[in-house]
Amino acid sequence: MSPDVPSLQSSALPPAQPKYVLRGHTAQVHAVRFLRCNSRLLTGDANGWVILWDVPIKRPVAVWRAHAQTILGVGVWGEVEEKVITHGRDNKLHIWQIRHEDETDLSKVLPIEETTADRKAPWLLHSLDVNALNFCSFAMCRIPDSDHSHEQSILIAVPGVNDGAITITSLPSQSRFAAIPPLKDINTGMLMALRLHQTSTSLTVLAGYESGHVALFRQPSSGQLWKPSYVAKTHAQPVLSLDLAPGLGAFFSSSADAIIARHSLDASTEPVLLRTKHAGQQSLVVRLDERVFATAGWDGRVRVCGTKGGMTELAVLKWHKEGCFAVAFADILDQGEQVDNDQVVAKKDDEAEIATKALTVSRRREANSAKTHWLAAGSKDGKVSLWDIY
Amino acid sequence: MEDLLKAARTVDRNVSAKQNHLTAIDRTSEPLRSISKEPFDGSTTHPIPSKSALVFGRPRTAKEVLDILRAEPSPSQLIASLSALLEPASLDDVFEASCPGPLQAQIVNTLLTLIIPNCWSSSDREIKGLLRSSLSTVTAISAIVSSIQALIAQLNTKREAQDTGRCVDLISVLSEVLKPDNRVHEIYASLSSTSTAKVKLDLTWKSFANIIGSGKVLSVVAEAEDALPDTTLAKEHRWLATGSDYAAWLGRSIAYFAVTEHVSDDASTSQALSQLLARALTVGHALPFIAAFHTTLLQRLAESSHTPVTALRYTTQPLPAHSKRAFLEHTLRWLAPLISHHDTYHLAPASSSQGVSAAAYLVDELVANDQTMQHNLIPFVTDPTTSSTFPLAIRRAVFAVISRDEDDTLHTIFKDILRNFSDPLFIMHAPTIQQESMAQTLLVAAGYIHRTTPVALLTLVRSSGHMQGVSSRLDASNTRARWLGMIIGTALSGLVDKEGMKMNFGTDDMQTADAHWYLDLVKVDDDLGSRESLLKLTTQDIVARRPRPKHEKRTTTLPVIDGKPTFGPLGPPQAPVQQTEVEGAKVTEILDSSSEADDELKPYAKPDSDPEDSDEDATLVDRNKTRPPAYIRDLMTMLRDTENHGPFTLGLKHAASLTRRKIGFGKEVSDHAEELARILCSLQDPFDTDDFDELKLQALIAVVMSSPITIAPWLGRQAFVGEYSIAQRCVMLTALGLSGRELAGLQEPDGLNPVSSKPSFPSKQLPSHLHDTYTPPTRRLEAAHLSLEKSLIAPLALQAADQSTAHLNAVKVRTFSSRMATARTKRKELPNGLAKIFAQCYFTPLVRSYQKDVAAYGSGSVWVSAPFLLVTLLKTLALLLHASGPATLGLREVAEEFWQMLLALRVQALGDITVLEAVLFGFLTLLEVNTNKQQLADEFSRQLMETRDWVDMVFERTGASGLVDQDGTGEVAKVRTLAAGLLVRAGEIMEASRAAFMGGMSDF
Repeated sequence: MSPDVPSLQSSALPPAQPKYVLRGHTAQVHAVRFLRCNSRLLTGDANGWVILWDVPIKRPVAVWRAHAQTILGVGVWGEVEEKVITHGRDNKLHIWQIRHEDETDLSKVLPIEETTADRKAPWLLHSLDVNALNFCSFAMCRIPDSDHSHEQSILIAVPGVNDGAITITSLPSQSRFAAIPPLKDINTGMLMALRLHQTSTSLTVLAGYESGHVALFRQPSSGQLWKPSYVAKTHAQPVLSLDLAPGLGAFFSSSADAIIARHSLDASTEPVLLRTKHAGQQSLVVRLDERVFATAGWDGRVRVCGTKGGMTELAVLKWHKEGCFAVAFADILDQGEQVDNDQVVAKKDDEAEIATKALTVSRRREANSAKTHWLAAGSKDGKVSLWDIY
Repeated sequence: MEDLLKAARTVDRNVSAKQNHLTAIDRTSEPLRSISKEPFDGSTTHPIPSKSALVFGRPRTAKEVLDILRAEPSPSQLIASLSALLEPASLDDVFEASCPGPLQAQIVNTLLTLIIPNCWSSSDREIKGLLRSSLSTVTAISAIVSSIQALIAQLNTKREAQDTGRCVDLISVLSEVLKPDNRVHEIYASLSSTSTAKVKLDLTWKSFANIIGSGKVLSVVAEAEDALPDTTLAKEHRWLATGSDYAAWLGRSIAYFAVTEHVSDDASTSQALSQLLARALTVGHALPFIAAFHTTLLQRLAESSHTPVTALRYTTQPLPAHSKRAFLEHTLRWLAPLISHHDTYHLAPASSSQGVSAAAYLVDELVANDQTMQHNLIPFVTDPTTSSTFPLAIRRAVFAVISRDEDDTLHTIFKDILRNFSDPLFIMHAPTIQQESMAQTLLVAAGYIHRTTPVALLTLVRSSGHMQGVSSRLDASNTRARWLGMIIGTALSGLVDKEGMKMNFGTDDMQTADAHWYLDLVKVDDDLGSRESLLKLTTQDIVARRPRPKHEKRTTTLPVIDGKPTFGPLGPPQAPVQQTEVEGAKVTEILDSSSEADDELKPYAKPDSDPEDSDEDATLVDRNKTRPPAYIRDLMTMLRDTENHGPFTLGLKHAASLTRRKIGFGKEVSDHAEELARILCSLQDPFDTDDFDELKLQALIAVVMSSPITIAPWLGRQAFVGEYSIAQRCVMLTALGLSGRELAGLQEPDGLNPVSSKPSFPSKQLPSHLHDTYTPPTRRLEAAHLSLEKSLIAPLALQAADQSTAHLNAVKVRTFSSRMATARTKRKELPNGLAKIFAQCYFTPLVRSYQKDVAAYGSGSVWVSAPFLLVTLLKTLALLLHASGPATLGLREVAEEFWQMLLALRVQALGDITVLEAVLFGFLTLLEVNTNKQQLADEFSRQLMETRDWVDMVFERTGASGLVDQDGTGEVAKVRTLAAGLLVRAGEIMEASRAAFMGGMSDF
């Protein structure tokens, strides 16, 4: 890959192996996400099944069929992340409530066990229609709220009815926040990937398109139309995923071809391209500490690369025999100081709490698990592998 | 009827209607008004202008319907007019859509020429349903068939897209009209509900039965399918052109008809039904037809309180006598595989079995109260040729039925069989399989008679016929015939004689499992089963035959997104690939990757494999590289995968080596051997694989080699059953031949390593596609045959040369023939594994199946009609016999049976030179393998003389025809050489015998 790889070889770690493999889905896993201080893992598959796993004991705590069709994306919302967002190909976006006490009532029988027993679905809080016929998952971000007394509100971005259009809705009010029209003069095709980022002042929207274009929008002053502040075509194939690292002032895009691109948020520098020579890089995510990002490859390997400089390939995680579609990092709870974020501060509190408690065995296990730098990868074979990386 | 249809066939108003669609209403309605006045008075009493009918919804008369249909109706008009047609009550005049008449013909014609081409492919379900119902009449169906016929002629001269479309539409209409099983009954019911005269009704139904039952639909649609470009016809409509599917449909329809109507017990309906049935029996796919008929009948009546007896009798009673016999025979043929299995043929316990009584139940239902049927049933057990083609289980079922009769039918049958069985001519000449089947039948019959009237059996057994029979059997030279005589004698005497008086031969061959099985046959007492048992039997069959899903594992894991299966990772539709162009900012390639990299992170080493993409272009990357199969199970999955090129080819390539590698490695191969062999036998090549035949052959040989004792007999029988093509059967025979040679240690050098030698003169080869067509799949067998033939003839030729130069003996260092002898001693003998099992595993299954097939189908058998197949069989047998050699276990019996088979082929051999050559080669091998010449002359003197005379005649004839080339090559010359060799050999043997007779004065 790079000329200095041989010199690094001597000091290299042995090839990484998965710590655990979660078998439960019968169809390919399309979405994975850690939540609640890494104590839970949410996975969604192509048949619409969603499983909430207990990470310390690696057992399912809630299994239900959220959608009749493929799950496109999952998310969480709420003070203690008690609300689960699922987005499916049945043109629905559901928001479910699963509090800690709800978990006992929900089915724990995995889809792989093929039971016909009735499963109880969690309490459905909201349901939005997503009128788009594409594969683009929703994106969400929290609206910073000065007033902590009432429910935290969020913004949800989903593809609009027209190809390339974006609709942003605010929840729980369910009111239309913004509608971003398709890019002018460029035939972008369908919207493929979305990402929202809310700073204290304004909202940033990232969009990736079927044509390989990547666009960045910033919230205009009220009354004005949304216009892209940055457009680049770095990929020959449709963009598959986007993620941003605000700390680095950069965002990353991956596509169905072998290229991973780093763009700067303020469009000050040119995009940097990494040619991985492995086509099909999906579900790019940047870890919370912004030191590494990972992509799920259609060749069945998860690649972990550094975010800085030339995006050196740090690890190739090979275990799945079939293509990987989804990857997620656990939150970094032991070095949270690098990121100043409300949520992480809250998590630090949790962590402190855990540390001070008299530790039973299970508590210790939970604490250890929470501190582990997990990486979860979901694959076409329906399995989810857990790795401990960096 | 024909006259009515002609009108429907020729008129095509399509063009004019399209050109003048504005004025079409007036133009078409004018002349028609005058036509319709004559037959229908109703239309004149309501002189409503047709225009108003067009504008204001529902038409009032049938003629108005016709007008609307001719005037390019809108969908709503079409629906209104068609539904008016279907509900005659809504029309003011008397109109019956289902009975033929001029107006009906016009309407059908309009539907076919105008509405179907315009509307069919684009209409919704409602219109299609209406069209289907309005075309479900005799007139319409015959009109559709005639239109297709007319179109075929057009398509054959010039293929135009328009005609193709029309043809496809018509076929799909026909298929959808006919598809439901109840359609035939519906048509009959609507026809008979009309007020038409009985004669006219009969005529109409007869013509319908002709079209449907005689296979006209089948042939016309098949011809159309041929004339159409490939794949234009949708899969769901192809059943009309597939003989077996069509026959099955016919069976279901007739069964449905019978089920619905038999309660009414109406004689004319029954007549009509059997008319159709008699026609259907001649379609030519009797087995699927009968199977579908009986299964449907049973299942439909399973719930109801009626027994199928009434329905069956209702259907078959009015059949003509010959159709009854055909019906009975096909029914028995259908039952045969259901209740007996090849593999358990011999060792099945003779006790009463479920299947037999179930079959007996059905047979009883069929023949009860029907003299003709009862009469027809008897030849199935008494006639040796017919009887031998049915398994014992069927004959037992027949006996179970016959024995229920009060009169002495059973005694007559017993006498008949006994006479046949004791006939010296039968003993001497009938094939073993017939003799065996007669013996079995005789024993079963004896058992039944003994149980009812022991005295009657005593008199029968004490008759001179039986005694003489046993003694002439004991005289027989054929050991099997003799043995059967002993069995019969012992068994019958065991029934009738007192203790101590019983016949007992006390020889070893009366103590074998086989003998006990035969002796137990007199205890067989089958009862008539019940409907439930029969139902169980047929449903079992359906479950067993249901094709197993092709990709068991794959289908479950393949994701389905929005109803469409996805084969790759979830991805968007491909965007047009463009060159990467930059908007906004320039792209910088990473030049120095370590410039500001995060050095704190220590990289992990690469995993064991991380191959880079095979292609720069992301759209061309192949991620599903298939690996060679590691287990037999994998191999079978790959061979079943006819969708994907990679796995199939790879699997086939590794099939032989994998199987051989796994022989003796656990039970992997032996557990799956039969299944694997079955896959290979019926393997087709969907991908034009290189060397397909060779690879398949090698794989099959490997499977046979894995467990010759079980697979070789199975394969031998398999070559005669099912619906295999000639090429597939040839491959099976070749595999048997070559595997036998390998067992005998005569392996070819490249036997394990299938390196097919390239022909040295490629310029003499046909173009590749023709080459494949014309190269017989038996190339390897041919090669082995040639070398063997040479080795058999060469010593004879050398000897001849030796003798003709006898005056030079003094100067010869070695005689020519001794040179051959020394050459032979050089070869190191490998252990001959074939000699032990040849008779039991290779020879008997092949010959028995052959005899059975020829007996069952006569000259219709593929083994008679395709000389190539017969030649392959003979060569295989001869090669195997030679490979097995003089040490063969039971050589005497093998030789006798083979000789008999060859002698029976004499007439056929004279008709075809390839058969002639094969037969001569077979004779030569026989004489070669039986090394003990004196014994040969003693035991087979008759056969030897017959052979000699015949070969002499062949030799004379080939010489006289003057066809022999000057240089001595060519077919005829080869035959002549073989014949000459045979004559020399036969002469030697007779000489040896004579010498022995003279007192061993020679040094033979």
